[in-house]
Amino acid sequence: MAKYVIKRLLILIPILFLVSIIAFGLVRLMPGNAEVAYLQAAGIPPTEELIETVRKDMGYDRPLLVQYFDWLGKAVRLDFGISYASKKVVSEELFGALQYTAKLAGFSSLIVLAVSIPMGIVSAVKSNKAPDNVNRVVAFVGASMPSFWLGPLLVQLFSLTLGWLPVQGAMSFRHLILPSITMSVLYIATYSRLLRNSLLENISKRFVTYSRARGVSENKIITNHVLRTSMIPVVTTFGINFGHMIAGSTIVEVLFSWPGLGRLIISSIAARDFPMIQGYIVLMAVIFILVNLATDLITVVLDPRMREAL
Amino acid sequence: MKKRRLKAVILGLTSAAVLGVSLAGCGGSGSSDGNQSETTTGSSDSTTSDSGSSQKSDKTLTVAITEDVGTLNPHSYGSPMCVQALIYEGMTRYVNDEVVGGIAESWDISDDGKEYTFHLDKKNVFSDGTPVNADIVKKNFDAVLKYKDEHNWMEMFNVLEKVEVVDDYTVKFYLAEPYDGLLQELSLSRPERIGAEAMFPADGDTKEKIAEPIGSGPWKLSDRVEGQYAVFERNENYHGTVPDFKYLKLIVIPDMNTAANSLKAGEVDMIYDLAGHGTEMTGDTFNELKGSGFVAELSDPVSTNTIALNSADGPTKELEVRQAIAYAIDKESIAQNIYSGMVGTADYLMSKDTTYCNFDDLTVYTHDEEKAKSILDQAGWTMDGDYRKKNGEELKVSFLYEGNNDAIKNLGQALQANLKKVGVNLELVPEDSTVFYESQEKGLFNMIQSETWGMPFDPYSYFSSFRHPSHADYAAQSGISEKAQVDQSVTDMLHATDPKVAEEKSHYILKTLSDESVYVPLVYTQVPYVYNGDVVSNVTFNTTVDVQFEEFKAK
Repeated sequence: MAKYVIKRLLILIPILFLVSIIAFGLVRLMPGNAEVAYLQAAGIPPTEELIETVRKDMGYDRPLLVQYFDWLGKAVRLDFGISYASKKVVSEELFGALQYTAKLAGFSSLIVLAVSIPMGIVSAVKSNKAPDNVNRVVAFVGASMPSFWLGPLLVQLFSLTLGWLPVQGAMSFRHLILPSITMSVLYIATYSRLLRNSLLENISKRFVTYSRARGVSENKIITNHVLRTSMIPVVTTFGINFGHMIAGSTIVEVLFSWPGLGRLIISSIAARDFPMIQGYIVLMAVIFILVNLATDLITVVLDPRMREAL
Repeated sequence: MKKRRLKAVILGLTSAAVLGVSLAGCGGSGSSDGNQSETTTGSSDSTTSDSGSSQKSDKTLTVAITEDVGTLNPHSYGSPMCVQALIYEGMTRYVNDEVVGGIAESWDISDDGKEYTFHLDKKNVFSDGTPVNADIVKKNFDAVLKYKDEHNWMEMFNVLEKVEVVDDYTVKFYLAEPYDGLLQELSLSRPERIGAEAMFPADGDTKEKIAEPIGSGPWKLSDRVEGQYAVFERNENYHGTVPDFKYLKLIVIPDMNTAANSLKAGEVDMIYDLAGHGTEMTGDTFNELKGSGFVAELSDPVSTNTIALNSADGPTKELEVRQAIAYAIDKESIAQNIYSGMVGTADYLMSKDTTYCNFDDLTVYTHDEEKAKSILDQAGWTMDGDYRKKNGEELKVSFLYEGNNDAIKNLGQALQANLKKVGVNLELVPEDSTVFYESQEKGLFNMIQSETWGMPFDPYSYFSSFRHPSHADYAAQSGISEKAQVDQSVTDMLHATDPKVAEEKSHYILKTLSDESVYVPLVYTQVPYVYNGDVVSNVTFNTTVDVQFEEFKAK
């Protein structure tokens, strides 16, 4: 197991190397040049002389390869430079915003698990009966609601009409509730159906019949045996989607003024804040890789047969 | 509007302990003859200062802003302008179309207009209690002048050579050439506002960072969570109108719809859109909030939203095409339908209220489709299908705009419909901001969305930009035969010591540009602001850059 983890971590090196090339290259391919972007982000009207000065100061007059390896040398030490817009250290800003996004994605994940697992189990146990049909409709509606529509609806109901929860901000736990619900509804719909189908597939397998024959109670069969096996596709999908939750929180963060990575990157892209965009791409790659690794490890824990494959 | 004689205005609250809150104003001395040395008294005279805060409110005013308060460095561009103005004072202030005293309570101008001697308020102190004296003013200006090339979009930094200390409370500014706009530009929120000694980092260089945001403005920073909010406490040492609210809390809400919901939920007391004309706050939001019982108001016009026509490239090289486009555009319909009636239509590039811009003989193009068609017919552009052609070439005109702005996209579609009626094919070219900038600099457009810079930049800084190739105005004007004279007139106007000369030059500039139909003035930008009338009163907006929260009253 330890060997496997080390192997996976070592694979990170070539992947991140590729990501670094993409991050550096993509930003250079963006329309507009970095010198103008730097001046605009600083609020200074660019003139030919200033553009030339910035080009020299920032080292943009050097060959591209030299620039890349210079940037890479610093990036491996988590030094992505200084933000053009805020004049702050990029890594500090990114990790500061990541805390908020992780909080949002983490709490959303808890809601997703807390709601979709019971929904999936009930749907499977009462397959094609009233509870399953109700869950199907709920899942259909949930999957059809984009967050930019659901968010304002929730605000209208819980903030403006009932006055229970704040409209925006990130100052307390109460501020976390509406954005988390907005973010989780789509995933609840997906996972509850995924789990239902997986449970139904496993519930008809022989080990279930044998367990029943041994007189094991139906509850125990479902929770100890069937659910554990059925969670594997859910965990795998969840692993992939957790990365998406972090990377795709932009709309929710803007809607609820949540100061996370999504809001940061939107303003950074608008300001052509190249150091921030590059740092963000690398950070996202690391998060995706680590979450995938964690997912694989959880899958191994859930399914002992996987250990043999390691 | 401001004339050459800078009438002093006193805005301080007087006798607050006995009489309550009142505004007082009085005229000051000043010569109307620009060739004479003049002394002007500003509003920050200590005798007019608020006599204390014993009757002030202990309430908090909570306001939504669209971006974080930023670096709070008065010598850089890393914060919203209105935020910098909370903490730091400039040498002068621009209030109700007047330049009045800021840190300087009065000033003398030498006969040749090249030396400005500023007299500081001896009782003025920074929020940390240190004196606002000549040494610290010089230290601030030295720090800014070190990087003056970065600020040369302001004419002030092209002419200001040095700042010298005369005595403890007197500083002298030495100019290479006379510059009539100096006092107005000294009122800007950046990069020349004055911070305390404690603001300077150890190396004294404020280009990248400051140590602490300490100024002598009406507010001081009290608490801050980056990306979320900043709380400012009133500066009891402020020598102008001490704010009525004890705290000003600025909450970062990038989305205007969210800000509107926050207002409805009582989380904020006020929202506004300094960019105006539907950039952030749409007419729907404004009207809905108005209907919900909030006070929704529009400022007086603060700038002009225009379309600049490229006189150097494409079909718009022809004067007749530019004139026809100007006649074909239905401004009234645009004001009503695109901007939901939140703006007034504009006849002139510069509002008549602007200094040296009140002229009656400028060419005005009022909506007249038949006239537009007739001009194009006479110019040889004949209808061929939906659009006109000349020498086999279709009358196709490009409209460059920033693609992330929905209001301008809607404007483009309205213009497209207007121009189609007279046989002009308008091609919409949305670009991101960097490409938009580069294209405007290189003149890669036929029509471009443009805007005057607004108060207090107009007319000086805006006219000054006409001469620099980095601005769309330069590219748009570059094809007219009088371009060299226009540029020279701008220079002459900026450096004129006689107001009559300045006015004459300004007239030439505006008359030429209107005759040549380089701009189609569309609407005057007005700042929409909405607030809870149960919490705050006496709310006014004068400029696109500054909000005078210190004048707001708690209820």
